[in-house]
Amino acid sequence: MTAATLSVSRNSQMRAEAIAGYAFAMPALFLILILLILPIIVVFMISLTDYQLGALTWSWVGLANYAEMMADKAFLRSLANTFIYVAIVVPGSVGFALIIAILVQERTKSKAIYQTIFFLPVTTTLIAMSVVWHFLLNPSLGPVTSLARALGFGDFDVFGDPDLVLVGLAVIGIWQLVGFNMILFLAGLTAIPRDLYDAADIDGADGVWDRFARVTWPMLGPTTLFVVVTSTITAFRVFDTVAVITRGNPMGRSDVLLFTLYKVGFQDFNIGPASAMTIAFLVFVLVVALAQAFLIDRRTHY
Amino acid sequence: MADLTLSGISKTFGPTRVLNDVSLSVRDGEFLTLVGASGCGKSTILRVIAGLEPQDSGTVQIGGRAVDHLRPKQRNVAMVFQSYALYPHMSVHENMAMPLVMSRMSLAERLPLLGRVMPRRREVMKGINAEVDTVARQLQIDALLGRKPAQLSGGQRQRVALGRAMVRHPDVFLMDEPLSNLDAKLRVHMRTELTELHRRLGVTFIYVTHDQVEAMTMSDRVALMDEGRIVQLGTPADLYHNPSDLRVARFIGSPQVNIVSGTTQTKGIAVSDTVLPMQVGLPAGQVVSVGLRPESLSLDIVPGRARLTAKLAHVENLGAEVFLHFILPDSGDPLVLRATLDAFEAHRGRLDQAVALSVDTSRALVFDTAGHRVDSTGRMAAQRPMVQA
Amino acid sequence: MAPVPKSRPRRRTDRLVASLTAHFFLILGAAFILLPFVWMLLTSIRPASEVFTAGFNPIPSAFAGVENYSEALTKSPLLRFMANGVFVCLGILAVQLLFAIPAGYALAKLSFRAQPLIFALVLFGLTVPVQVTALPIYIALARLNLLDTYFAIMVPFFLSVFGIFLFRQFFKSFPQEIIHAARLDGFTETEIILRIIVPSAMPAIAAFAVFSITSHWNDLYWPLIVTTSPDHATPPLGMMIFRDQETGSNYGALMAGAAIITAPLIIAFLIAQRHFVRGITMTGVK
Ligand SMILES: Nc1ncnc2c1ncn2[C@@H]1O[C@H](COP(=O)(O)OP(=O)(O)O)[C@@H](O)[C@H]1O
Ligand SMILES: [Mg+2]
Repeated sequence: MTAATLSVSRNSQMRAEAIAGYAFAMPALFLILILLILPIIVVFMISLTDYQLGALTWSWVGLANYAEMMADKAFLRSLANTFIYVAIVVPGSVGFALIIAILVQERTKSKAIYQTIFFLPVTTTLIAMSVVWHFLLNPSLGPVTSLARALGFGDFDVFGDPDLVLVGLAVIGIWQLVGFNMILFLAGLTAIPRDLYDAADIDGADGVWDRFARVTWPMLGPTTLFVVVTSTITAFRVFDTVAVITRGNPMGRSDVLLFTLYKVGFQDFNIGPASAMTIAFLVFVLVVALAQAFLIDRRTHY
Repeated sequence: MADLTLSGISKTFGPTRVLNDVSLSVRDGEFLTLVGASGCGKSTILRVIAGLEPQDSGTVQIGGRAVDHLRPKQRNVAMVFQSYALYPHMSVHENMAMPLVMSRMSLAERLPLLGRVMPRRREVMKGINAEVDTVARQLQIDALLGRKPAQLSGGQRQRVALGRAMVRHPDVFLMDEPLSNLDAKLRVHMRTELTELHRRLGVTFIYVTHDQVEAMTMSDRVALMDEGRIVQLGTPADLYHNPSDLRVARFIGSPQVNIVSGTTQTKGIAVSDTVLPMQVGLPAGQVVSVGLRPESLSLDIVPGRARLTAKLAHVENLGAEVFLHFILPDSGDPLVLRATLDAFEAHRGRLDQAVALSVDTSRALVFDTAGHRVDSTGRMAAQRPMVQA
Repeated sequence: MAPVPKSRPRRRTDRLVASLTAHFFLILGAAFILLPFVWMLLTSIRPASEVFTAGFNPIPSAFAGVENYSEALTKSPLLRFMANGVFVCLGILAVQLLFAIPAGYALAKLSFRAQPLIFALVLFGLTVPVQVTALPIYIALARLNLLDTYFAIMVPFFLSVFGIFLFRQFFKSFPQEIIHAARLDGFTETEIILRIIVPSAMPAIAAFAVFSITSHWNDLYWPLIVTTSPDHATPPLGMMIFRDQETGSNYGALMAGAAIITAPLIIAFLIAQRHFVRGITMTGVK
C-alpha cells in the first residue's frame, strides 16, 4: 500500500468515526440543550423581567427581582436557616460517619451487618420515613417524647419549638446521610496500605490518637474533602423533611431555601423572584463545586 | 547492637500454620538472610520479631532479653518495607524525623497547633533536625529533604526508607524484600550499597528476599525457608555445596541443579547409561536423586571420571559462558552444562550427535526419596538447622 | 521452652476491651438508625386505640396488622401510586439508557470535533440540580398543556448527564483493540454498540439502574410541582396525600402505608446489597 492510499484510508476511517460520533452524541446533546442549557438561560432571562405565568406581555426590569429577593425577609430567613441546617448536618454526618467507618472497618464478623444497618436509610423513601420521624417525635403520642417524659426530661415538642426545629430536621438529615458517608470513608480506609500502620507502629506512633493523626486522617484527606462537599450539597438541598413535617413552621423557623423557592415559584407563582432565587441557588452550588475542584488540586499530595 | 534469638516460634492464621516451630540465632552484627519462595512465611517472621504480629508460641530475644511483652517501638528494631511505607503526606525530612519525634516529644508537644507553643519543642526539634541531616548526608539524599515521596524515584524512596530506619540507631535492622521494587540494574547496585552500609554500621541485619542471588551475594549466613520452617541455615557456600535437602539444592544456584534419578548399586549409583563411582552407604537397589551442578559436568574427557551420554537440545549463549541444554536419551531428563565459550567452540563440531559428558562425582549431591541428603556413610550430610549456631 | 510471657494475655484483654467498646458505640448508632424502621413496623400492627395511650411501649397488646394494612390499601390508592412509581422509574431509566449509552460511547471511543465541548457540558451538568431547571421546564409544560401527565413527571430526567459521564468512564477502560478488531471484521459502529459494548457494560448498566431507580422512586420535589391529581402521583407524593387524608386519626394505617411504600426498595436492597451500595455511592466517582 502506498503512503497516499494509506492516508486516504486513514482519512476515511476518521471521517466515518466522526460521523458516528456526531450521530451517537447528537440525541444526548439535544437533550442537554433543551433540558439543561436552555432552561438555565431562560430562568436567568426571566429573573430580569416581570414575566407572570400565562401573561402575554412582559418587560425587562433589570435587577428588580434580585432587589426584591434581597429585601424579602422570608427569603433571607430561609437562607439563614439553610446555612444553620448545613452547619449542623455536615459536621454531624461527616464526623459520625468517620467514627463509624473506623469502628466498622476493624470488625471482622459483624462488619457486613453494621454496614447494612447504617446504609438502610440511604435507600429508603425519605418522605415515608419523615412521616415516621414526625410520629416518633410527636409531642403527645410519640414514643421518644414519652420516653423522655418518663425519664424526667419534661415535655418537649421538637418540631413545634422554634429553637429546636432545625436541630430536629438536622437529626433526620444526619440519620439519612451518615450511612452514605460511611461507605465512602470505608472505601478510603481500605485504600490505606497496611504497611503504613506497621511503619507507624515501629516508629512509635502506636496509640489510637497517633495512628489516627499520623496516618488515618492525612491519608483520608481527599476522601474527607469529597464527603464534605457531597454532604454540603445534599444538606443544602434539604426539602423533603420540611415539606412533610414542618412546612416552614413554627414561625418560619424551618423555612429552607428550596422550600421557599417552591412556595414562591409553584404555590404563589411569583415567577420573577423565584427565578432570581433559582439563580442564587445555582451560584451557590457552582461555588461549592469550584471550591471542590480547587481544593482537590491542592490537597492531594500523591 | 545485639544478637537475636528466636526459639520455637509458631504462628497460625485461622486454619493455616504459617510458622512452624522456627528457631534461629543471629549473631551480633551479622547479616542474616531469610530466603524462600513467596508465601513461605518470611515476612511473618520479621513481623513477629518487630512485634507487629504476636506469635502463638515461642520467644523472641534481642540482646539476651525476651521482648515478647514489648511493643514494636520498645524493641528498638527498624524495618524497611517492600513498599517502603513512606508517609505520602510528609516530606522526606518529616518521614525520617518521625521515629525521633515520636520518641522524644510528649503527646502535647506533638499536637498540631498547641505543640508549637510548648517550651521545650524548639530545642528538641533542633536536635532531631541535626540528626536527620547527618543521616541524609550519609545516604546522599540531603538535597531531597524538602520533597514528598511522590516526587522521588524508586531508588531515592529506597534511601529515604533506609534513612528513616537509620536515624533511630536500632539494635536490629529488619528488611523485607527492600530491593524487589527496583529495576534490575539499580537492584544490583543497591546490593553492594547495602552490604557496604551493613559493614559501616556494624549492626545486626535480618534481610528477607525470595531472590537466591541476593541471599548468596550479600549475607554472612542464609536461612532457607519452606512452608513455615527453616530448612537449612548456613553460609552461602554451605547452602550451595552442601545442601541438606533437595529443596535447598533446587532453590540455590542458577541455572538450577540438574536432578537425575539413579539406583544404588554395590559399586556406585546407576544413572542413565553409566554408573557413578560413589559410595553412599545405602543398600543396593534404592532409588535416589542425584544432583549435578552445571559446572560439575564437562565436555572435555577427564580420565577416571564417569561419562554420561547425552544429546544437545539447545544452546543459551551468555557471551563469556554458555549453558548447554542436553537431554538424557533414555529417561528424557534435561541436563544443563556450564562451559566457557572456548570449550564450547572447541567441541562444537561433534555436538550434533550424542556425546559423552564427564561427571565430577566428588561434587555430586545424593538425596533419598524423602529429599534428604545422604552422604557416603548413608547419614545426613549437612547439619539440620540449630538453635545455637 | 521459654514460658509464655505474662504480658501477652494483657494484649488480648486490651483487644477485647477495644472490641467491646466499639460494639457498644456501633450498637448505639445502629439502634438510632433502626429506631424509625422498628417503630414503623410495630405501630403498623398496633390497634388504633393503643396508639393514643401507648407512649413508650414497644410491644403491641394485640395484632392489628390486618386492619391497618387493609385500611392503608383501601383508603387511598397506594397500589396505584406504587404502579405509577414503577412506570415512571422504568420509563425514565429506559430513555436515559437509550440516550446515555451511545453518547457515552461517542465521548469515550470516537473522536470528533465537538467532543471536548460536549464533555465539558456534561461535567457542568453534573453540578446542576433539578431545582435549577424546574421553573422554566414547568412553564414550558404549562404552555404545552402537559402538566399532570406521566410525561411531565418524567421529562426532566430523560437527560442523565451522570449516566453519560458514568458510561463514558466505563467505556474509556474498554480495550480499544477489541473495537478495532470489530471494525476490521466489518461491524458498523451501531453493531459495535449493540453487540460488543452493551453486553460488556452490564455491570455499569446495573449500577446505573439502581442509582436511577432509587433516586426517582424517592423523588418528591418535581412530582409535587407537576402533579395535581392523585392519578399520576408517585409513591412519595402518594404518601403525602395519604398522610393529609389521615390527619393524625389513624397512625396504625399511616405506618402501614409507610411500610408498604418503603418495602420494595428495602427488600431489593437487602437482596442485592452490593449492587445497591455500588450504584448509590457511584456518585463517588465524580
Ligand atoms: N494477616 C494475615 N492473615 C492471614 N494469612 C496471612 C496473613 N499474613 C500472611 N498470611 C499468610 O501467611 C503465609 C506467609 O505469608 P508471608 O509471611 O507474607 O510470606 P512471604 O513473606 O514469605 O512471602 C501466606 O500464605 C499468607 O497468605
Ligand atoms: Mg513477604
